[in-house]
Amino acid sequence: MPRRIRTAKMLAQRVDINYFKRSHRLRSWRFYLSLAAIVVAAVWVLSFTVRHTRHAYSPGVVAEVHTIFGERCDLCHLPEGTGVHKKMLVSDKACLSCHDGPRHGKEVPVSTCTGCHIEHRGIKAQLSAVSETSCSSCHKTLNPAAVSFNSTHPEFPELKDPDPGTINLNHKVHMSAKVGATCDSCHLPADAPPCKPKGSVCGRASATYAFMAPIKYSDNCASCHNSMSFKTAFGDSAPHDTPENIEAWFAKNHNGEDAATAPAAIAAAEDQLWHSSCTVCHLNIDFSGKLPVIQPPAITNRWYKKANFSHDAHRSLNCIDCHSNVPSSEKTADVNLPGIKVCQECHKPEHAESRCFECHVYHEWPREKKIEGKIKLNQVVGIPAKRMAPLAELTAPAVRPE
Amino acid sequence: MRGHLWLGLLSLPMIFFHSGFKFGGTLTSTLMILLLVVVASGIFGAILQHLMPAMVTERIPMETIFEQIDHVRAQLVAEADGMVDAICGPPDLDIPAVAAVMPAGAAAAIPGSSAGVLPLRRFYNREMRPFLRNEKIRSRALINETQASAIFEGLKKLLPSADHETIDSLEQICEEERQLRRQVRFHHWLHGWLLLHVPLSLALLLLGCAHAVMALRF
Repeated sequence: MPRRIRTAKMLAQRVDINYFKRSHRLRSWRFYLSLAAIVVAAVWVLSFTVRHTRHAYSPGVVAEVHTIFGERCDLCHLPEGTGVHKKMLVSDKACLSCHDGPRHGKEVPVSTCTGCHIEHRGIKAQLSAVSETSCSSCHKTLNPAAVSFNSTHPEFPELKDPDPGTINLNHKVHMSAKVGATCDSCHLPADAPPCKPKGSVCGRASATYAFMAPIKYSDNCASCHNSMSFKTAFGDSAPHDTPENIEAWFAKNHNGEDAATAPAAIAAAEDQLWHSSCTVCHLNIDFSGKLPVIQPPAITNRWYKKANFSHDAHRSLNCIDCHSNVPSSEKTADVNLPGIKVCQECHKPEHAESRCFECHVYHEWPREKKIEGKIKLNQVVGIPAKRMAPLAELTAPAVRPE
Repeated sequence: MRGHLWLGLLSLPMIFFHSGFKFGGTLTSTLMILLLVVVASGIFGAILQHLMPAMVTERIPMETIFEQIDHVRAQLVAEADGMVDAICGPPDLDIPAVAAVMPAGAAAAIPGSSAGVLPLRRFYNREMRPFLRNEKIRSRALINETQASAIFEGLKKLLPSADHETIDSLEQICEEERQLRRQVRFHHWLHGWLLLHVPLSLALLLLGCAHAVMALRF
């Protein structure tokens, strides 16, 4: 038998030229699997419509505060338009059904609620945690400009001007070894109980101490600057009171001792008291009149009026860590608040919260109006989707307040 | 195809950015998983299609059209049948019985009367023919090129030199069958990943449209 020959022609001739008209196993499988995939996907999508649930379309779970009606997409996604153009967008009308959100100044362009507050970011998401761009979109063009806390936020304006207080206070002397005062000798949380017994150092019994209580003579100074500080020429101690009341006190206590000299002695004693005792603490006393005119203390109770701050959140720190100027402060005019650089050491990305909402508030809450809740519990909980009443039957649309 | 590969690869980071690197709800999670599987299978297929053609050229010189393999295999079986029948006679021929009734000297002219005929017929019926027909056999000798070569060398020693060319042809047919089997395996690798990639791509497309419509609507 001759040796086997393989030529191109012979190889070509052994092939059935109609082979392409018949389907092959792999190709058939591919076709049927593709068909099956399309059918399964279509059936799955259609099942959402049949079961009246749009939950599968949700990009994520709603925040914890909204989970009570998390299954009721129609409570927030209100229909607009008809037919093909029908949309189910979240308008301010839906949010204002439960919340009021007073505008941030009348001159500011109106933004929608969802422009800043983004839902469907998970159950732990904080709806008030607005991104910096929501604020910087306007504030970057203002003067001073602010884009982010760690890059272009201006220095706190409260630090520019001296302390307007008129009480002569030398922190350095008070905190020296001789006097031995500590921060909480005078600065106590706003809701702490008064010191009892009087003169003792109070502990941090407050539950919140967001802000410090206003400084008052009776609460914070009297324990040391007591009656011994106001000795008169007569040997007794005058009360810490207004010049008019002290004058009356003098007249009452030293009247009739010596009819000839009492007025003069009283006047001398008063004069000595004004100049020796009052001027120790009170600055800029006006002696031009019959009685000295004492300036109001003008102690600033709250410095950062346009920002929120809580001492409670910082309770793990030492006071001097932030108020580092205090031990060396000798003048009343010293503003012993920490500057922005101190805050930026912790409040920066990957560390403590540094976005705008942490300190600043957009909505003018003093103008907040009370919203009457109209949704009943049994209308949102435990009801099959197809038997849920539309939103229009549950709430009346709210108008955005101006 | 290049555009499909590059755009497909680019779509992955774009969709990650679009989703905020989150999987989201039911539909979006499903879409993301589908996308990952489709892109992964696509990359796998692209690598295979980059590497395997050279392997096929090198290791399957007797390549044929994949869909014709069964048809070619049948032709190889017929060809081998003819070659073996030429040496051994028809399959149902009882050589000893025929030789017994023929005159002396004439028996030598009976096809398949040499010493190696029976071993060849036995080998062909029990091993080579099932091998060529792609049937399951216990012995894997013919699958291994070296072992197969040794078997055919052994058969040559039993057969006259006139039949050696036929034995070489049979060996060549076995080699062709081995290459056809290799071609089937390579083809399954080269195209099997499409059974995952194509259906899931279509599902991804359909669900993606549903996602787009609902996202725009809501």
